[in-house]
Amino acid sequence: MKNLRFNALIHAPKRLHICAMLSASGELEFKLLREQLDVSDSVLSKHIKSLQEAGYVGVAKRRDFGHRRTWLSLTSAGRDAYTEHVKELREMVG
Amino acid sequence: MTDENQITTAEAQSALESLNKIGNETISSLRPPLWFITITSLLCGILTFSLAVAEHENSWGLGVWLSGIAVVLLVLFWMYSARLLGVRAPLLPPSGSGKVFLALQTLFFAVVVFVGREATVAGRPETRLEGAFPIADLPLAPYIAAVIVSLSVAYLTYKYPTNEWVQQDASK
Repeated sequence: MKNLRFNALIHAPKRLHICAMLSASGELEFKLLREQLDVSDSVLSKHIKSLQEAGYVGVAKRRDFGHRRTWLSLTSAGRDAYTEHVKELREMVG
Repeated sequence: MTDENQITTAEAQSALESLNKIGNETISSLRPPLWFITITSLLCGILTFSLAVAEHENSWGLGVWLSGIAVVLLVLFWMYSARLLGVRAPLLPPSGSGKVFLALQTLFFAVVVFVGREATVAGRPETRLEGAFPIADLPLAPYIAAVIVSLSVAYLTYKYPTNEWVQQDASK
């Protein structure tokens, strides 16, 4: 057991999954992320809200091809926090 | 929102393995279809070859335009399709590592195209300058440059479809 200063908000499995997916892409649609995570709208909304409140995820609602779509992306603070978190995990594993 | 916590090495290892799996799944889900990768890489090879051998007296200049336009149209088509599927791929990666990765790719392709062109020009009988270019005697230069560009484009599009530098084995 080691002391590790890591990001508890990001470390939760679903939120870690969200950050990992968003870090590998520009913007992802809410619906696509929900299907990939296999969760309900409300569960994903809850996770996104907590990440958004921390300033890690940006949410943009736009009309695309006649449909209102919600796009999610990592903010630069979120990208830094996620990168640091992964770095801490790697350092711990050695 | 950071917190000091205690986790075991095994838990950290497990989290990294999970990230590795997610990373690979994300790359797979965002990867363009193989037909797209094949056609794009072949067109990039033709573009490189055309750039190397184009002269006023031949029609390879047309090859440059046609293959260039075809590559741009294919990329726009893929961006449109990806957007319909729920992925917006920016032209410039948002992360710093992604921008560095893109800059290195650009530099690599620029060097290959430049060397391919220079070697071809320096090897022509009318412009031949003995010893002016180390690979002036390489008649296959445009072919080699085209193959290098084609294979590199195929590999990079397959492994890094979003242009983001993604560690594809996060557990290591």
